[in-house]
Amino acid sequence: MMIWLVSIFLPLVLAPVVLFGGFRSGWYGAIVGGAALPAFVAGLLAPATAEIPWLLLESSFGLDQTRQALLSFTALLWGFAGIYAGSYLRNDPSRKSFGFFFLLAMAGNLGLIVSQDVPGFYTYFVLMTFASYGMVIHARTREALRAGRIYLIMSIMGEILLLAGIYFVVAAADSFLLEDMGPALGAMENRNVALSLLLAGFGVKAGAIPLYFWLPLAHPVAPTPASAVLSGAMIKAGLLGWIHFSPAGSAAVPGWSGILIAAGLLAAFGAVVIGLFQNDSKTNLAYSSISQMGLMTVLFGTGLASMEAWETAAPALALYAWNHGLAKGALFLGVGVALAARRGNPWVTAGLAFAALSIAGAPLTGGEFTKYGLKETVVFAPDGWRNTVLWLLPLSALGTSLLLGRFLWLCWHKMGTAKEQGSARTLGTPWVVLLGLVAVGVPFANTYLGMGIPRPSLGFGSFVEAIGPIAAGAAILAAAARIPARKRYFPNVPPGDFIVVFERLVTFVRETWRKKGLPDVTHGPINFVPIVDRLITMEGTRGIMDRVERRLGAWNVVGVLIALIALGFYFLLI
Amino acid sequence: MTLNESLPLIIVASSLVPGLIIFFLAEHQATARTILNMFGAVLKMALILAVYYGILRGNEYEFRYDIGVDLEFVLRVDLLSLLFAILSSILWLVTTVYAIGYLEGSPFRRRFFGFFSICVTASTGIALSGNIVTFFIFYEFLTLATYPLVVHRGTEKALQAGRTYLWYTIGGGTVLFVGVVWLFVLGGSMEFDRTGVLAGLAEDHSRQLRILFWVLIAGLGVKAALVPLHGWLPIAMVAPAPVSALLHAVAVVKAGAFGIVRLVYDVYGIELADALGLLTPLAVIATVTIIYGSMRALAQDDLKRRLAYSTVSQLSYIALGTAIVGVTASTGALAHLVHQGVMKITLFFCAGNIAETLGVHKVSELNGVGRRMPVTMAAFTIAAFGMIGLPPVAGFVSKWYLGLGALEVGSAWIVAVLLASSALNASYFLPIVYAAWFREPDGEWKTYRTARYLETPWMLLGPTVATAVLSLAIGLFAVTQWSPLEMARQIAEELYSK
Repeated sequence: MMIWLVSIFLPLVLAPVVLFGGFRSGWYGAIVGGAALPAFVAGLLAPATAEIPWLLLESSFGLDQTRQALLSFTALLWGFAGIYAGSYLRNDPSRKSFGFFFLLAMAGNLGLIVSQDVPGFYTYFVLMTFASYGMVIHARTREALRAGRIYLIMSIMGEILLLAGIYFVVAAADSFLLEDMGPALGAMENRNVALSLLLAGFGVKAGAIPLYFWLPLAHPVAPTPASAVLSGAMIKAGLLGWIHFSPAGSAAVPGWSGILIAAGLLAAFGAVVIGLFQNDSKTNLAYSSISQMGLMTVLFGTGLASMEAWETAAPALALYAWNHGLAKGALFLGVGVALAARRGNPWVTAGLAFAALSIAGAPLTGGEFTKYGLKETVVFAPDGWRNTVLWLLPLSALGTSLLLGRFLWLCWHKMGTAKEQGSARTLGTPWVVLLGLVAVGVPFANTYLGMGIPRPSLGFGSFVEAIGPIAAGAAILAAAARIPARKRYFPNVPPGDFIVVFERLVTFVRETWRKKGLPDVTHGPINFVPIVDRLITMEGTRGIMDRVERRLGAWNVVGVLIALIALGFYFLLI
Repeated sequence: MTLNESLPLIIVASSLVPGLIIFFLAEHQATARTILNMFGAVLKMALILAVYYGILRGNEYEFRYDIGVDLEFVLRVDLLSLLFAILSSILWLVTTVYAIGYLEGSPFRRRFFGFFSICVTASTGIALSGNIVTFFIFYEFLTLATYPLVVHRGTEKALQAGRTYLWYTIGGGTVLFVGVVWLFVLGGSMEFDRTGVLAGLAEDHSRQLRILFWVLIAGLGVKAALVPLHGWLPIAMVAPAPVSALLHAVAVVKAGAFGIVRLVYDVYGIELADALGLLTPLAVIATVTIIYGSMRALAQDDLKRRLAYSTVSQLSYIALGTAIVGVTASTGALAHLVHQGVMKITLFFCAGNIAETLGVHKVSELNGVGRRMPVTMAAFTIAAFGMIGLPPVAGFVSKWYLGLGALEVGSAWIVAVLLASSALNASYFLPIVYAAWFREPDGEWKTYRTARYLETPWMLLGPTVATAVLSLAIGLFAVTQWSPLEMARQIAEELYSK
């Protein structure tokens, strides 16, 4: 029992310590990163389930295979990002507050993985959501505040949707335990309503189409260690939410399976296309995360197709999440290393390329396993989808290669342009260790956790199959690079793509209101319901309400009303 | 008279007697007044906790006095009355500390603390009333005891607010009086532990019972601030901060809400009320109030006014939960009776701290206040998150039970209302939290009150921190044996097992 409590509460306890203490950067990194250590140990050992009846609405902690994998890599990533933060923020005057939010979000993220009860899970989910807001707006720049605003609005919408869904399922299950949610969803009456609410609610966090807008805005503006955990670890909380609150493994829902596969494929390819046109390396990575989450959505969706599909999909999904989590974290942290390193440093370049290759599924990387797991799973896809998916998978590998190739190109050109955030050596140390874990982590997890995904054969055919899309991607990029700059057609796609349209719409509506002389009573940038807000506060409505209230406040009106009521009752009594 | 008989009376007297003595003290005898106040508050809390212990062991506490003409004055302790009594005694204690700090050096403290004690006597009386007649006596007593507190400042605005307050509450009292008399004619003195009386009349007098219910709701609805009877509440916030805090958390508004709970559970009985079709309209009124209050709160720039409209909205969760049949929803409603009180009193304490220390009253002036008053704003943040319904603060727990309870009876629309209210709460509380923590201050802060080490005197800060911690704790440890939720669950289970 103790280890569960320590895993969650150590970061919680350390949060105020970091906020009020004055630690040198080395200690800062050790504290912020070390807070994840107990959780990592718990992830390795998977201690027995423990019930803590006095906490929240009867907390229960424990792990299954999927969550054991999630917990181990999540804790690792948080730990290394924390150590990295010590060096990265060494000249930042407000790093104390960053550490505070970082640790709170860490506690939330770790807590939601080990929770086995719904209220606990939701509590940690909320904690993570709100604490990451502090990390997103850390820089306080215009972009950061805008990203934070959009993040918060979308998160609150998501939170409300998923709470509605949770109410439905919990009421149907008549239980607070997460393990009872799946069967309840399989059997409940208005399953489709509940599932839509839950898929959308967690979809905001998972960056699913069409709820991903906040992600390419928030991930790049946050300080690099925060981007790493946002993109590597926290995004998977949405995925875990889906797994918990779906009939996966207890009922087959082929219809939803198809919808999820379609949405996943759209995200996998759409994000590549938009990501290719980004000029910032971290925005590029954010779109890559959306694309990779798309593939995980395909995996998850396939798992819903039938009962046996889930048996294959669950370990494949866990391993995919593991590989993407660590490798994407390493890529984000690598951006910071590259900026601080000497121009053209071959080691940094090689490290970045390695992490990118691992995500693209190159031979001899962890990605090779996960790609194999993906392929093994999609044969379970519903009939109409199976061939499409099998046909599109190599293409998606090509897309990933293109996108990450573009990332390497962007990074290469930015190398050595920002030295103020820690030296390449202090930033590089945790990064290199993390890269080592990317290299050995997936095979280790596969064996240690008994995922049972076979190592792909080392034959020539499978080698070509794995390297083919990557080589093709490299060739296309090389060809593109040979086109003279003035002849390149390069559309300007703003980060966050379609959100810009929404924002313009909102601004237009707001400006129109203002031009008409309508009052603006909103305070602060968290203008959550701009339209409703204005409707109820516009001159006309407000005037009516004020007048009515003033009337009700005047004593003679009240007196007359009371007299009338008394008279009425008098007659009633007769 | 045995001890068990006299204990309810002693509990009521434990604040009445100090209150009366305070009137006879001189204005400058602050120490004596403080000792009396604190003695009364601590004694009352200790006695109520002792009685709670006794009730758990199966003791019964009842005081009866025959007024004549078939009227009986009855004080009886059951779990529901304890829930309210414990809430009011604990919050009275912290508010007394706060009020002593708040009013330090200001005039007319004798009058203030005298009526303050009497006000608490009235709300304890309401809690312990064993029948509708006793309830009505204390209910009206409360109206009169609160008036001097509302107009305490004596300004033109305060006097006007007091007038509005009186018109509303006395008006409501009149209607309630009609209702109580009617009830008396129909079914006698209506002991709260005998719900069967009206059920026997249901067949012959169902129409009359329906009308009577709405008459009583109209009377109680004024204090419970049901729309459209809520008008006095935002106006009455001109009162000093500790009064607003007590008014919004325990004393007046809770008396109304508690009355509605008693009316539905112990006068009509939930089955009869359901059979007569009274509950759905009540739920509709409650939801309208919830949404309307939140929307009005959005548009307020005055911090206390915004909090006042928030009270209008949050309070109706209790009525809403009462109107849903089922153990889960009733548990949520009764737990919210306590949860709302603890959270709202924290928010008013914070508003008072900010106003007293920095002279700031407006939401738009709160930029960067978190750096100047971190402890106060931390407390505010906790309570505001609770109001939105975010875990692990208490507000989440009550909403959780209300939402699940609504779905148990198939009322998905109530869930929609609860979540809409969460969204609205978020949109009027989060901008405050954001401005306080993340914005740069507009200029130098003016300072009206100082303390050597703290951001504001400890008598103001201590109660604020205590209630903030309490609202977090009763959410975090909601299922432990002594939590309000557990008590609410016990009451609800008893209610439906009858």
